[in-house]
Amino acid sequence: MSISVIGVSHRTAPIEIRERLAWTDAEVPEVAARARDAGGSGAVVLSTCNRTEVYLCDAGPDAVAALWDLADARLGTPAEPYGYMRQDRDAVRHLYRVAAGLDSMILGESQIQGQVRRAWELTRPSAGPVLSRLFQLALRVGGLVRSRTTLGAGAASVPSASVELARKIFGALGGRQALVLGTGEVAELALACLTGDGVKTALVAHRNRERGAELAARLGGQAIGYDAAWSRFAEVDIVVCSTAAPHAVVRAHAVAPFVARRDGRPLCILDIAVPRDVDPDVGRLENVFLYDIDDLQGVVAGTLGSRQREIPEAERIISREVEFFWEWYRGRGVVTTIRALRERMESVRRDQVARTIRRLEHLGPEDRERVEHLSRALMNKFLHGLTVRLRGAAGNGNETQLADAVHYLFDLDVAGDATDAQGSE
Amino acid sequence: MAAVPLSGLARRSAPRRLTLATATTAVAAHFAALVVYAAVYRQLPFTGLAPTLSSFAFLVGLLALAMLWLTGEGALVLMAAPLVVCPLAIGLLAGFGAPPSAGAPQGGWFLLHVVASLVGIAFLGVAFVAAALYLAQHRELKVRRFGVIFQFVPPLEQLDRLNHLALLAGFPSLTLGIALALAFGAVAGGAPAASAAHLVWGFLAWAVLAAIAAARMLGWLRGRKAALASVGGFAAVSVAFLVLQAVTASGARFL
Repeated sequence: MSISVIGVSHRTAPIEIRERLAWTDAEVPEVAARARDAGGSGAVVLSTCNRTEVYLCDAGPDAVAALWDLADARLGTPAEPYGYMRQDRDAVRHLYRVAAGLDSMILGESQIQGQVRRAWELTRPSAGPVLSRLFQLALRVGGLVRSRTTLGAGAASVPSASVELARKIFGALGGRQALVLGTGEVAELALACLTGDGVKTALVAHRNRERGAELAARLGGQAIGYDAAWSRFAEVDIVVCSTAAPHAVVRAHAVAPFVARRDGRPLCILDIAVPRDVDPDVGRLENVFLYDIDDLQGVVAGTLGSRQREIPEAERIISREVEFFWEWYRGRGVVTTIRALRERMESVRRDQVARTIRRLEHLGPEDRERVEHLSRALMNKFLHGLTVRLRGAAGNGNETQLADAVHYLFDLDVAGDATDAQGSE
Repeated sequence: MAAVPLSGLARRSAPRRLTLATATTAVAAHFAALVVYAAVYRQLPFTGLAPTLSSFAFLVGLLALAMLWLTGEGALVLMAAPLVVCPLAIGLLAGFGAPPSAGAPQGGWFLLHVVASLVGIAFLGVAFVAAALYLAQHRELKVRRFGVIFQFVPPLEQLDRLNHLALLAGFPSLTLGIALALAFGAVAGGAPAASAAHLVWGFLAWAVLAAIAAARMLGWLRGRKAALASVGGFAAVSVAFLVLQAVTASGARFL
């Protein structure tokens, strides 16, 4: 009886290795089925850009070796030096930490929660009852950590910092209008985050008209030239700047008359270009909030700092939940043993009663029923103390030795029991 | 009520339920205390300095609780707490003894006048809370400081809307309170049943609220300017009250 996880992650393997070991959604169910068939009662595969992990239930060394062989074949070189393996409580803790975002590249990021859910859904047929329960609980623990700590609060990347700043000015961003000046990879990501929050790209200004039209078609909105852009500072709510200009293109004297027409409405300018696109004097205009890349990175640093402070509390929650799961898991093993023992005893009782009644043919139905009742009562009396002690053992850590002893002494069928237990879930 | 912000500040992750529960308990306890006062002295807590200030503090607490329910923003309660605690402290200093019975106005009109006026002033207090938070957040955003205030205080536009709504709600209420006082004065033979200081303060509060609310409605004031006007207006009303209370030496009477 064991739970284990083997895998590679951003902590142990560089991107070149991780990308070759990442399985697509289409491949994941088959890999999980193969992992389970290699030995064990369940397997779940979690494959993201930052980690590829296989969770196994009741897997022996052969199953683990088979999985490393599979990884070796895919990588072309031995994968084990880049990987890790955790067992039992450590494996459960690992999954809980992953689901809570504690093991993520960006501490506390929430995307992993969806990825854990997806992994479980994709591999549900091969997950088995234990891993199914474990993954459901991991999702619950992830949610618990996020709700009871601020591990998931704030912006942890430059694009999300853009959204957070805009939200602190406008509140809800739905229906706000954005003007995009130039373009760049980070600016596009920031814009994607903003539009994801309901911001509408109204205008795209670019020095190159064709490129501007292409961007406007992709991002939505209308393409305009730089000269026409300044007057729009009176209308839009958010300006995202990311041109390749070697100097500031947005000057205070050019936009000040239009900003003055805003009637006190705030204007958020996100200057993501290096060198900066916006003259710092623009930020001194009334109701203009100007942020450059350093400010956005400052927001990110602040967020990560406060997230770091939440780690001890998150770890406390996880430790408690690991113990809850482990108690259930250990108890589940004892239940299997008790059930197997009762079935064995019941089988013996039935055989012996049948044999006895064959020899006592003169007994009437009532007497036969009495014999039947007596045998059942005796069996229950004999098993009661044993059952109570076995259940008690699940609470003090002796359950494995005692269960093994019972299996040995009463010659119980382990494989059959495991199957029964699965069927009962 | 003073403990309400602490429940939100002790841990930034403190569940909203805890803040709500603390605030609800505080407001309920305050209400119970007012009911007990009314039962003991057989008079509503609208006569005398301490009971009136306590009733005002209760209304501010109630509005803060309503804002907390609606917005979930603990910062609003944090800023509202001094507006609850300070009047209560002044009331306690003045003493919650037996209310002055001689010459104290009675009747339905008086009750309506006091409730409408206190609600109007309480809304002005809420507008002040929103405005003060607006100015704090505005400063953080301008100087690009992303610390506790940035994280804890609600967004600018939300605070601006709250300020606007509080002014719009407070103006008709205070106007009704003043109008009732004037109407009763006219019916009672042209002599208002209040001191000159009471009248001066009442008209000053109404004029301040009317001016800011009108400027907001006409679009002359918005954002930072509206916040400055609200803070200035509420400060003027508060200082005028304290000065008049001290100068007239009205003791346990409300002006």
